[in-house]
Amino acid sequence: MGKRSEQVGAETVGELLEDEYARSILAETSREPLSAQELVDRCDASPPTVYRRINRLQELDMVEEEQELDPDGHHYRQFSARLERVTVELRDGEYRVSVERTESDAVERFTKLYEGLR
Amino acid sequence: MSGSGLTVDGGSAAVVLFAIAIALATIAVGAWVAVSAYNGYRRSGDRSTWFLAVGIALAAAVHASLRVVLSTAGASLFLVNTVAVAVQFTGLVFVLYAVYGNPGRRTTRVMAGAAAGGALVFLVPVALVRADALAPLAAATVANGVTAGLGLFVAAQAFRGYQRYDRRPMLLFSVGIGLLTVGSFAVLNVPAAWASDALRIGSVLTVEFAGLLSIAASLRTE
Repeated sequence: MGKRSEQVGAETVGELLEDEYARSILAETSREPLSAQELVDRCDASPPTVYRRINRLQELDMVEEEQELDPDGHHYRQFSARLERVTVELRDGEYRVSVERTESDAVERFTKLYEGLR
Repeated sequence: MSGSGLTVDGGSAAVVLFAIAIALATIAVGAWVAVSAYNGYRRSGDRSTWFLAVGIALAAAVHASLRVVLSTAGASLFLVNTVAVAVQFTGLVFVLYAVYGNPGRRTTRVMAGAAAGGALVFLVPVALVRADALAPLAAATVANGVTAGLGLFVAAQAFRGYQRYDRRPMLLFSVGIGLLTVGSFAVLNVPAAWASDALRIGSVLTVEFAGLLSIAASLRTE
């Protein structure tokens, strides 16, 4: 929340994007929000693989989730990519990696802020 | 326009007791809301949360309590309304800044801006009435209307948060802030022929108490 760009370790981002499944999860969810089951189908991966990658991507705040209600009234989660751009700079013998994410909208910020108040 | 106090026109004992109960309950719930909001900020320590907490305290708790206290003290309906609405306006600006702004920078300027906006909401109607340019009720209506519009927007955003993320507190907050702004605006603008000043004040206090309760419920942790 609030921060649009942020420093992360070069290895962290490198390791994540090296992973074929993480890459395709990001690519698929950048088009439209998808549920874990849809990602299993589209990425041709097992559910545990998809869940592990989603968890990792969420830790790095590259994917966000939303609660949705299906026609039967059950909750399910949908994921969408927040990653927009990764920049790697080499300066004075040091790598600086910054990640830019899609800005969260006002309704989302409001809801999260209010949750923080309770 | 001499609607002074809660016991106007010698209502029956039951009505008076009811009014006193509402007044005391408003102050109690208002204090609880303010303390809960402040504790919420202390837990998170986040700058945006500070603006949200102070905004809610001003727009809901302080606003409703001021209305009760000033009404009881016998201030005119116009004065009660202008002061209470100015405080509410400032609070709503704080809430909007928490959501849309970039707290952490220019904090003092934002606080000054919000306070100046609130002062304007208070001073413009007072000046217009002083200059005989506008009847007190019309002036109060303008100040109230602007604030109600702001409140409607905040309530709508909170409601969208409830719809999208299915968070009940957002629904309760939306209803609460709606009652405290649009609700009391609607009640205050009931044509004079339909309701006496006393009835109107009583209704406003009741509607605002309901709004405050809703906000208190939204802040309660399950």
